Amino acid sequence: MVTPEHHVALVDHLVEASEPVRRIWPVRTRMAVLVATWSAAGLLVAYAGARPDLAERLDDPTFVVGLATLMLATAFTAMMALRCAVPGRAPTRLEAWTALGVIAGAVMALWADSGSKPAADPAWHCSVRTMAIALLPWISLLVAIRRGAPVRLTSAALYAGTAAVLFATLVLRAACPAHGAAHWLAWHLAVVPLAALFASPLAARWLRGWRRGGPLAGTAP
Amino acid sequence: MPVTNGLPMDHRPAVEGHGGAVPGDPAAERSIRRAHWMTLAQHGDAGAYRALLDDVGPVLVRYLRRRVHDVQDLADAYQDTFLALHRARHTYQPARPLEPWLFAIARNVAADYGRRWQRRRRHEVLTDEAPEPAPEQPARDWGSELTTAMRSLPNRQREAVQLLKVQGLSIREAAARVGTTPTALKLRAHRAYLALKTTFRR
Repeated sequence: MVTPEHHVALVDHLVEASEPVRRIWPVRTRMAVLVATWSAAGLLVAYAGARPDLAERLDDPTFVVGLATLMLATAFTAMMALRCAVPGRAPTRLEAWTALGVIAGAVMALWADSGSKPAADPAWHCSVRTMAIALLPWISLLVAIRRGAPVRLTSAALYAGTAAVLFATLVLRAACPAHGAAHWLAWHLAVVPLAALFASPLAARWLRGWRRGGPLAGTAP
Repeated sequence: MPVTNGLPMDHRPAVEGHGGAVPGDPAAERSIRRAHWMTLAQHGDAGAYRALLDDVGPVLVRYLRRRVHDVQDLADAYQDTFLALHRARHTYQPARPLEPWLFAIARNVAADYGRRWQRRRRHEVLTDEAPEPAPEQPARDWGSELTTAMRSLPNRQREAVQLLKVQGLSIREAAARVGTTPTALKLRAHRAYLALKTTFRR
């Protein structure tokens, strides 16, 4: 039962512990910073190891549409992840379905861009590269989310993991010379569900810390 | 100047951005007032923060009562909601209404308690028979046990308990006596209580 005395003690405690706080930037601003940082990093990585036929491929509208949809899917999921950090702004069910739709669109665009190779030869190094490139964006996004107050931990972790792997796939589109859609689905995009399955529970557990941290930890009256 | 809960109301945020609130509508006015208090609280205004917490308290109790099944859990859920609100206050954006932000926090805390309640319920077994009374235990010497438990506490924690519970000083007085902040003293006392509780549970 919540008694008036309990309320007064609680409020006294919180007011006493209150101090000015630095408000986090609005989601749009955070998103702009994230896009700028990721773009710079992505361009750097892609430039350092660009595929030899990149200029030629950029003349192909299907390839460009594939890149654009992948970019859109990455930005959309990253935006959803950042919104999870603000209570009351977490993506709605409709937005979650939209995110899935955009990702499906990106996969279809990759499929449409399928090359001559019919089957996916084993290319574990591509999966490893995808995960390695995704690691830093994933961590940066998780840190950005935890600076907020992610009340929907699993969603936040899922969106962050997906956005990071999509970003890595986007970068590798400009770096990996493999041409078949099957290769991209099996050795690059397959990392998305794997990351969601294995990394997200860990990320969610880490994100939970926002409620325990700070000067009030364990001091409730 | 109109005053609400001891706070002047002359610096109200614009109505725009608060869900199309109509001036004159009591609910909209209340929402704008809360948003204003929260904005002031983010700048460290203790009066505005107190006014906000006092204002949303009854609303949160009603909200949590509908979602937290166990009456015993309600007070804990209420406290957790307030603590979460406190830790999340830097995420509130003044251009937006406060209520969706507030209730998202409360909903999340209530969902946590709901899950715990479900887990507990799975392990509870209802029975028609009253349990056998426990065999009589030899009387415990609480006095000496307490003395021993107090001795086992670190010096600072023992000092906090003695000042607050034995000498009956207020938190502020006790903090001044040991030369620390009231929050730090509360923290020491809280840790001491936890340690004593653990000792007596054994």
